[in-house]
Amino acid sequence: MSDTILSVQRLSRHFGGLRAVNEVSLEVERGSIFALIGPNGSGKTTLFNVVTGTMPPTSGAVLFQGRSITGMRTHEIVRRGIGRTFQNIRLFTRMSVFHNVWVAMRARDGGGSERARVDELLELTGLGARRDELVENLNFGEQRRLEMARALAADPVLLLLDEPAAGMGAAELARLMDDIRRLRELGKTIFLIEHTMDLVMGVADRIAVLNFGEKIAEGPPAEIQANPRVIEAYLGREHARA
Amino acid sequence: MDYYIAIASIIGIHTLLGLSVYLVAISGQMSFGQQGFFAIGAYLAGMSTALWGIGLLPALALSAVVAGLIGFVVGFPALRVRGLYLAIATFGFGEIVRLAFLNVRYTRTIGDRVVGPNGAEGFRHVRYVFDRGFTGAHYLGIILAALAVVVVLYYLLERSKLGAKLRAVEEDETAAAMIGINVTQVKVLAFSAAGAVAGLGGGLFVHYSTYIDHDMVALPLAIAAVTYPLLGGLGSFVGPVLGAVVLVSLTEGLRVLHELREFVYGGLIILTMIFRPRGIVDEALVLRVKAWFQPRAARP
Repeated sequence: MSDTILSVQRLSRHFGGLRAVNEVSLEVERGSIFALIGPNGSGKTTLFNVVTGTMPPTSGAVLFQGRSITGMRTHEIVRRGIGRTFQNIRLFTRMSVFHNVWVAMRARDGGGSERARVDELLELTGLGARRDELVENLNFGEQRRLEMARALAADPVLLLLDEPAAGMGAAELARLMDDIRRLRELGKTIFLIEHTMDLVMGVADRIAVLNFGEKIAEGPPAEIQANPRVIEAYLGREHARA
Repeated sequence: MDYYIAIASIIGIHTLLGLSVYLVAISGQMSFGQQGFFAIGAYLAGMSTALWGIGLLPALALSAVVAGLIGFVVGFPALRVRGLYLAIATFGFGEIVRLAFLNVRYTRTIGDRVVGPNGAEGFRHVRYVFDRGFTGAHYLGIILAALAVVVVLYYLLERSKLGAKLRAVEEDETAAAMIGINVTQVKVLAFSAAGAVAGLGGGLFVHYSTYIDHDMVALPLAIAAVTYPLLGGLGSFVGPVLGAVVLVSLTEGLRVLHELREFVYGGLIILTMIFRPRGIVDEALVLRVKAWFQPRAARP
């Protein structure tokens, strides 16, 4: 008996003639780590944008915890328990590290204003020592971790991470994998987009592959690695036959 | 002495206008139309006391409320455009208001005076304050009291949850929505409140000058209003207050330079834009000042 937290049903998002996302269906199980992979421009971020209400779908539906969130506005979706980080880091650069999380904490409906909780999140993401710095003084990995801390401030049950490992070195990557597993232990469901295969194969329970806006495969990591259609999408037909 | 009282009065009134632009700016919008709300407040408060026999305080409250409501209405279409387009659209609003008052005639003869908006002739004889024996100094007290109320409200706003939301929306609307902020609501609220503040400024102005016409609420006033927060700073409400004090004093103090005055004024703004793009009181300065007042917590 599986418990689906997010159900994407025949979701499409077209831009004029471009089918950025086309009839994609997938189900993310509660408490799992689900990875969405695919070549650049295959529609992964567009799918995230539709799920989080940044843009409406052309057709199809999104169900979160059994209820439709299709076409809802972003802040309403967030208040239902979805958090997200961005591929191109979108921090509040004129605020301190502390304030980036503090503002997210205060933005919640009837949100608690516990400063201690902000410090807790900064400790959790290893930013405790940088709390009063301006965001611009953080390195890349720290900025990504701060985005995660900010997304966690609203206490989401489902966390969407858009390329959390982009631009990270090996040490940072190892840390990120630990962080993601720890979040799962804290009861979060993780839905991530990633190009770094070490991370995807290392942490994901289940993987879906997009190519030109369509889902071409879905399954556990081992299965995906062996799937000829996936190898073809990434490396071309030659390698798929070999 | 009267001269300084006059300058202080103008500074007080223009500070309200600067605070109005500032409030819209910290929700991520740039308005060149706040003089429109100022004009609405001025004409409405003037009609209230001079034609309808309403007292000064209710007249000021009415002008703030009506300007705020119009701000609410203007706030929605303003959501659809940003940046330069928003600047032009809001200036368009200001011009519509100005041209409306250029054409409105609604006068009554009281004694031997023609009172009320009289088209291009302007609106003369708003003499409520001075007919009641108030001096310029008394009226300056009223202006400063009103300004003090607004400043306290801004202080509270910036410490509040809504203040935090405004700053988040200003920096990045998408990220703000993604932490659960209703961006539409925040921006429209900012526009409404800013309209009310400018309307209050207009109401105070017309009773100070006893006169208003369409020419006084044209482009130069729009530019002045925008330069106060731009020069003073967008990091705190202290910015537009400082900007209005410095720039209005400068305008007066440099009269001896005649036309050169404009160069000094313009040069100052260009220098600010180059060296302090967020104005004198920017976010970094605010953080530093706050750090002085905080006891240094012992941290590992």
